[in-house]
Amino acid sequence: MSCRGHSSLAFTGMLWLGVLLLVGLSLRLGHVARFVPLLVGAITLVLLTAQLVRDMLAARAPARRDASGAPPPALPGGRARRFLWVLCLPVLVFLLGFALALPLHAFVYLRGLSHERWGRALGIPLVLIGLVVGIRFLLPAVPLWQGWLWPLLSP
Amino acid sequence: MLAEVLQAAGEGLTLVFGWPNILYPVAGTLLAMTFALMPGISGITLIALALPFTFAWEPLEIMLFFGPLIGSGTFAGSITAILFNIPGSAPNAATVIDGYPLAQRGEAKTALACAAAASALGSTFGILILILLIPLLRATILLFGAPEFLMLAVWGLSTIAVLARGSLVKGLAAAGIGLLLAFVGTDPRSAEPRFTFGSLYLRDGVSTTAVFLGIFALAEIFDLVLTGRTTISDRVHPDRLTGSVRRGLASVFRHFGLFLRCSVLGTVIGMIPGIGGTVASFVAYGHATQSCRDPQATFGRGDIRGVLAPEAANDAKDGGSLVPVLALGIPGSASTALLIAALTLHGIVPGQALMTEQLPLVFVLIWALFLSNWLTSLAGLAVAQPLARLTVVPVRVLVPLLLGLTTAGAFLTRGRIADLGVAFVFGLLGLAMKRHGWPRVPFLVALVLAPLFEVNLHLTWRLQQLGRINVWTRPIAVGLLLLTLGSLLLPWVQAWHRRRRGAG
Amino acid sequence: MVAREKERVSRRSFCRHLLAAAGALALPARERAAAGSEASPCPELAPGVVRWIVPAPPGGGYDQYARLIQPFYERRLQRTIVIENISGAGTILGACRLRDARPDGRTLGLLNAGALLMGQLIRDSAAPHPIDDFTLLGRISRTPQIWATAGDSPLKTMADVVAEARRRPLVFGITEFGANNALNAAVGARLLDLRHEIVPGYQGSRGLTLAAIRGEVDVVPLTLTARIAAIEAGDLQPLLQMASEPITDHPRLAPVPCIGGAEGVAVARARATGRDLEQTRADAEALALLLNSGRLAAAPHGLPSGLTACLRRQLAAALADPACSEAATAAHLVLEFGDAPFVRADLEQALAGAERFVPWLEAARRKVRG
Repeated sequence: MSCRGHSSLAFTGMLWLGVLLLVGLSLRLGHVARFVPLLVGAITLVLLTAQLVRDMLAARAPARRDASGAPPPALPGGRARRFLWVLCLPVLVFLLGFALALPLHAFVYLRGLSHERWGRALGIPLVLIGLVVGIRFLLPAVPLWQGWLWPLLSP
Repeated sequence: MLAEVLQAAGEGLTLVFGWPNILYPVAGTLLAMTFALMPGISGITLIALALPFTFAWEPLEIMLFFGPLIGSGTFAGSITAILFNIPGSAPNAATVIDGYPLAQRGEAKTALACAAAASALGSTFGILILILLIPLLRATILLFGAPEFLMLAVWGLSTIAVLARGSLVKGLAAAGIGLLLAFVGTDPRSAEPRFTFGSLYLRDGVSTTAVFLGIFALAEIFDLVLTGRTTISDRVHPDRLTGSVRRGLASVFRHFGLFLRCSVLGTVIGMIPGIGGTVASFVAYGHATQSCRDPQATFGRGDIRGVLAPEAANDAKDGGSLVPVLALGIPGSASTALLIAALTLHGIVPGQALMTEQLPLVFVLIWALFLSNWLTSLAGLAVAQPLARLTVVPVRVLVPLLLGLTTAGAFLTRGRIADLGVAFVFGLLGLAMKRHGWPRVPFLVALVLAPLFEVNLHLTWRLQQLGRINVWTRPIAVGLLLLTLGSLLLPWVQAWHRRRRGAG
Repeated sequence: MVAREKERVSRRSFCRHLLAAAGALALPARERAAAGSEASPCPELAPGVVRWIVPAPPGGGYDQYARLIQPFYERRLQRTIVIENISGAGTILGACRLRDARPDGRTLGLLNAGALLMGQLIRDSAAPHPIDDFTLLGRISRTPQIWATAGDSPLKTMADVVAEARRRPLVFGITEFGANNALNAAVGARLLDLRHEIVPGYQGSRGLTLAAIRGEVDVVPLTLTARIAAIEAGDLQPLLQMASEPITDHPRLAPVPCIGGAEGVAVARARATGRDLEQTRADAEALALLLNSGRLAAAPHGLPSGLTACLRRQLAAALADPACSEAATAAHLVLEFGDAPFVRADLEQALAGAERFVPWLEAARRKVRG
């Protein structure tokens, strides 16, 4: 069975479950509120079922190999780590606020994970600090998120 | 009437281009351009911030300064859309679809130049139509009601069938999911919460800007990180970039018919209060794909028409959005709502009174808008070459900057931290869709057009039931319906003709 | 006319505006100056910028009132006030944000009293309580409601409306249930015993105005101040004032009757249809109170009493400033200050009287929901 086929099947399955949930929730709404969502949901479910069947058949196909006969390479560790670190950004922003999270995240990404030179590793966070400061001072009525942690820690 | 209009137009022109009056639109343009590069900060934000400082200003000064704030931000938002896949605001999302692939191919200059030209010419078109319609403003507005809005939405949604033709099942399913996502929030008639899971945050639905930023910008950033691509354009030296400003400019004239049609679309949609630039740009994009013989071959992969169409429509709508303001004192968009607020605070009531008693002042606004759109586009053309070089900057340097821009933009649109989470969730969804061959454009088209479709479907049905309207006697609605059917059937008719010719 | 009288902006004027803009950009410096050097008349007010939450998008009625009052209140408090637009869930989101802020005087806001009262009536668990969840500072303005129709409609008076309702159900346009105009239409029509149909789904007062002008609906319930310009231009004509006494002395509303009061339309209809006069009068009063509850200035619940009294005093003084009244008149905005205890009593009375409307609202909503 092919890896790519499996992941496609899983993705389609996830979408199918999500739409099924919404169709189920639609049934609890009033007639007017549910009419269009139910209609659209039902049609989408039929389409997703057809796609699910296609993906199941594709997943049963033998794994595709390249010219040398070797299986497709796994994701390099460095890229995987950088990707995971990118996904941590919203959590960091929520906890620490934009002013601290953006430059800190950038610094760790550049210096820690990409082994970038010190110049760039510090310069780019400074640019991000400039961006945050710029928004803060030029648009005071547009407050950036301050961070959830600080009010807890302040007296 | 015509003589009066022309005289007022001349007076307005003299006022705008006189010294030092011209400093106001220039200052407004520079301000709007600078901030529009930041996703999430639009002309609306700037007008809202400028409002308190206009208390001491004369109405003339307000018109000179606010016109640019209404119009200038649009093209500037396209710059980040083309270079980095990050739309400056929701209306720029359609430009991303073909603009970014052009940048990836090393043709960012072409895309930027085309966008600049289409913006300037599109806004000129919209303004010209506005001026020509001045004697007929009121009658024009009243031609459009729920049936017309419904048919417009249906026409826009029909483009999904064209966009999804390469993988029809996936495309239509993606559109269905986009429609379902648009239904999250409160039912517009009964105020019944739908799919909100008891959350106050979801009562207003999911932020479309957060979804756009996620499904395009963040998904691409994730992809850049995972694939280890060296630069956006896959070139490391600026000399290897193949784009050309001249080619970009020429493309508008090469596809002049498409440009005109999309400008008309943008102007008409702009006239309809509450619809907005996002719908205009996506409907125009959809029309561009419908008017092409083999859209799957090129659209979504860097077809210049995919940049031209939304840009022309998006800027043409600015002129159109002034029509309801001037005719009835009703805001055509959020930015014109603020303009009305600013004028009202000075005792100037937009509407028939303004049109009859202070027509030159109206033309000050129109000419200021015209000037600012051209200034923005000329500035864009001037910096197209240096900006295009950003596509050879190493990705590992760009990623933190792009993440900063995108996350700030996702938050700034509504000021809600949860929008950041939404953007990242849709970023992952967008990445998965890209990896598994699910088209994202039908999803977005459906998301944008769903509210217009559902609300007006129910309104049309109800009003027809009560005998207040008869859809079949409304020429615009019927015309749009026939256009939709024609667009859907045309590819099959063409294919049948080709088979017959081949057989014969 | 402005453009003819003043041919060009003077260089001095432009430079002045440029400096003002620079001053605005140097806001943090202003903050520090305000915090340190100028003593506020409210000593309990913590130093720093005061946030003023407006629960609606920029440009709308709430925003206009906030921006009108802002400079005058700033001067009184000796603090910089920054307006923060937090729109969503029909002004409920902004109200929730205000409710959840720290009660230190540095976060104030405007409330849509009608929406909060409506939230209590329809048992919306997310809607804050307008009295229990806030410290009221005063009413800024009322939100006078009317019924209006197209300027060229054959329905010129309430007599025409009643006669038409006998022939066929009147069609009312509204935005959505949960909005004030839904209450206005559903309860008002029921009170006057008019056969009616409700068509929801229009976008804001502009959508309702266009619907009326196009003739899609017979009557639209509107806030008077939002569409006074359309009334003056003849695009809309007012039919009924949703109040117990005349809302305004505007000439266009002089011949328009009121729903409430001893000689109001509600009592006249009750007499004509043989219903309980006293109950009808009480219902009309309750409806008028509910619809006219207005825009309130408030702070989070639990504000210290000394600070509360000071903020209230300064707000009253700001609104009483002749310059503020002049600016309001020029902007077609009507300031109508009500002090906090009076406002509180009004709200309590409105809530008590409006309990009778709950089943009517539910019935109307069920009809639309299907």
